Amino acid sequence: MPRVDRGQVALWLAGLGFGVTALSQANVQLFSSAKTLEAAEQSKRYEVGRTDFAARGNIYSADGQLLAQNADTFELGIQFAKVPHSPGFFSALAAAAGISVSELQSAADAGRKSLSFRRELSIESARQVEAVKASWRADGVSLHRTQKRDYALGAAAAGIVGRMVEGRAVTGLELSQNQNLAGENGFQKGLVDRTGAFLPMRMAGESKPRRNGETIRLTIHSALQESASQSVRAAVERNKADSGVAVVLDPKTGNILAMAQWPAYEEGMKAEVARQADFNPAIMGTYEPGSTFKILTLAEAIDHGKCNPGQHLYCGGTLQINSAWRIRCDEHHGTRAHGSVDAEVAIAKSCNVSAATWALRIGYPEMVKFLEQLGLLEKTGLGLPGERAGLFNRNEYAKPLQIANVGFGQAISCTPVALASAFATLANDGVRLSPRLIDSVGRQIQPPATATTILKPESAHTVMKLMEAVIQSDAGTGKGLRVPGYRLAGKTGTAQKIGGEKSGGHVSSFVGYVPSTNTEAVILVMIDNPKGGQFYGSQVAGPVFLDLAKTVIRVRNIAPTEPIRAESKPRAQPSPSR
Amino acid sequence: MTKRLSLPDPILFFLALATTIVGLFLIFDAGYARSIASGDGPIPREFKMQVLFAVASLGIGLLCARIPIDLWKRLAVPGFGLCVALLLAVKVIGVEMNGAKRWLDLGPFNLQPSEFAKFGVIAYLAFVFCQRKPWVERTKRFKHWAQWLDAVAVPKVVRAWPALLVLFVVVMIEFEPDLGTAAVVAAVAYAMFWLGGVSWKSMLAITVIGLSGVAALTIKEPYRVDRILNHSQRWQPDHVDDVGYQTTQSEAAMASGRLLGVGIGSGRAKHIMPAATTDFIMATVGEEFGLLGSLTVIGLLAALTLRLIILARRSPSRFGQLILLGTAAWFGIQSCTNILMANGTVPPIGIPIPFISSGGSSLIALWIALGVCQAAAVPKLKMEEAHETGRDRWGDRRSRLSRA
Repeated sequence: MPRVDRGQVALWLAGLGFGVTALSQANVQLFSSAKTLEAAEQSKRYEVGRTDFAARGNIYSADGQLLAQNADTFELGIQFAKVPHSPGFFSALAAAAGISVSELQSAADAGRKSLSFRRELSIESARQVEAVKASWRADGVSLHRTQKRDYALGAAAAGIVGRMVEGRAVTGLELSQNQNLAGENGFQKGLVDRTGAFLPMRMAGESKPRRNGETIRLTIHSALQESASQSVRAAVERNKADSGVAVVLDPKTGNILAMAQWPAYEEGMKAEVARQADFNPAIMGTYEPGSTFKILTLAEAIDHGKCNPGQHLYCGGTLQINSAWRIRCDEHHGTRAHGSVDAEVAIAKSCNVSAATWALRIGYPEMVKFLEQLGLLEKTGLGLPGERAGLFNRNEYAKPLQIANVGFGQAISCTPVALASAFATLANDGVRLSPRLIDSVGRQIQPPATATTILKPESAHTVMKLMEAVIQSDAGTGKGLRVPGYRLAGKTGTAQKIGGEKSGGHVSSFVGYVPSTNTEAVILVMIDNPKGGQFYGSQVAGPVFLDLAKTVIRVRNIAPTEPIRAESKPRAQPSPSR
Repeated sequence: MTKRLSLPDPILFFLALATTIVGLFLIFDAGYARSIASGDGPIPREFKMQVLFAVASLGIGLLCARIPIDLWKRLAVPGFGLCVALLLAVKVIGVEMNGAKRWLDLGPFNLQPSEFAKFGVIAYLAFVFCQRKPWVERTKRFKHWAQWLDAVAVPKVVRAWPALLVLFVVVMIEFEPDLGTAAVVAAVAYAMFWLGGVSWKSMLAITVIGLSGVAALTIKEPYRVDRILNHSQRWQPDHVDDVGYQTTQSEAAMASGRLLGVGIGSGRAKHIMPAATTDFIMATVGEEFGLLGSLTVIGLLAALTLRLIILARRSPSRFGQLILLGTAAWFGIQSCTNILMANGTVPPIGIPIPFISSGGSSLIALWIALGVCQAAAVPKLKMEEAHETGRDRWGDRRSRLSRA
């Protein structure tokens, strides 16, 4: 074998070694760089994106009660390869998560790779699990966050707040204000260490901070809302009605203080039932206002000088219009005729003939304009989904009959909220305010109600005075609805639903003012189709009003308007009205 | 002043100094992220320690350079003995960390004797081979097997004795356990055998014995089989977080660095890699400074290695030659293996990169080796001067006088 200069060979070998190393480095960093990065991305081990979930905004009532709140839950998952297999760890984890030790132990003993629990953990529980995870260095423990909502008032505010199904808004403000409530998820880019833990990286342009949802504050007063909900529910159940609704409005601001309904969505309802309960009659249902509307007709008539409150009208029980149509008063005590009535009596006794007469005197164009000004024919714009506008047939052939009917609240239908807002005009010196439900979204205060002057203040005052008689006079239809120490005003209504006496049923309603001067709250109660034998507004809707009036007085701390005196006991059976 | 600092080979010194300084900088860069994450402030502990060790090792290295090579030759065997003694001490009173017993507790820091054993083996084998005479084959046939025993077998065993000693050191390090260092010692010793002039036949025998040893050691720890078998499958979901984790992360980091790198401080690998400042420091180099940065580091280490071999070719003493070649083999093998491991070409074994990876014992051992190499690298000029006739005029004159 020839003698080799091994030093020379060593030089070549060293050069070769470093040359190969440099080439392999160039290969990794340049030539197969794209391939390697693709493999890294696919295995999610170089750069991973992570969504930083935005917390959904809460909904508060005006008095600070949480109506809808984030109640996120966590689901526990365990990868057994990455947790200590010690009984101490299992018992600590079981205690923190509220699961059984044996379940964990047996799964581990059986050689299960992973285990996940469908049971939802509260945030406190999740924090404890996190603590156990940290102290035992158990990287295989994971917590998956699920978004949930907690509705403190439950069914009482379900019609307003709405609900979510599996993280998706389906009704109410949750749906209509979803954009504001949801916020915007953040995005973070980062990497995953060998335990799978996420390490966010602070690099420009690669992460976006999350924007939490806005807090929404409503004009709703929680105590009133709850009280309204209970009363309406009681009335609906007692009278075997289809549905009921109560709206409480502050006439000075247009703020809706309560808007309750029954039936309403309750936690755990079945899907079909829930769908029916999602119907909010206060904004989605249109009803003929019925007799309560007479006060508005009267106000307009007085405003136009078409009616002098002191002037007497003769009601013979029927009113002939154009020889073709006839308006009738309701029959009571064997007769329809109210005889000679002034405005006060007409309102107190709810005389259809008088109301029709006033409407006819106002005339068709003025009356329609009045309906428009009252906002009855358009959506109220509360910011709730599914709101409906009122219905009035402008192409009606029999315009005089139509307008005469409108006079006492028929041939027009509108939503209870719109109607309540119209009634509030009378308590606000004839200035109509658009109703408000959302007070603020985040820091943004929603615009105040738009004001439209419809009536002269004197006209409104006059009508308010007359309505006091409905409750305060012993001849009034609502004389059973008194609150000692307070002068209230109101009007009963019992509208027959379209479809005739047999099939249609009634809508029993009551509109009331608490108190009658310096009114703090206008309360409208409508009970649809009571089948419990009673259907007069004072009997069906009246008790709801009375409950709410008392609650308003309590929560708004209203001083008595007159000395409390020994009340003469009103008659048990208020006289019916039509 | 200039005279006191003058070194036999300034090029070697400044190359090593430059590499050490680059290493310090890279340790800071690769270490700060984890340091901040663990709440220890922006200056990593590894960096602080490494600066102290760098200063100390520089001093020790310069001191070693002043000791003449003949003295080193006499120190080789005792030095090797000291290394073996320290390794034995590790077995008895060593500090255990992460399941391995590799360190001696010296109070403020831990000493890792296996790092010194690398150079100890080089020095010892250099000593052995520099006075070894070639084996004389007997042509005569033996009449009795006892004759053969006397003339062939026993001398052969005696000649193989150093190899057995080295094998003992390798096995001791392997059982710490420290596969990386053991492999480096074994590979360097193998290179030394060859450079020392062991015959091709014997080299073949050593190769066979060595490979079977490697196979045995691999089977000893099943996770190694796993690592090697799964290396090509490291991107599979089953392995990417397990055996393939370090390699895949390092590869991905280097791949994202491309030619110019993502920029200093922007690297990601250092946030998540367990050995960011040690075995896998090249991941951060490749990621932040790109291929150019990697090639700079490779170039520095290659220059160091080649410089040592060139110096060896000029060295007048056989011992010095072998020291220089052995040290070159050490630097070269360790550098290339570390880089090939970090870029995923070979399966991961714990081998740090010389001068760049953090580690005090390693740095001191490297600079001791460099000091001895300086001593071995007598400049060409000085050598010629020494042999020039008529230079030693004093002696000449005296002899002439006496003759006259």
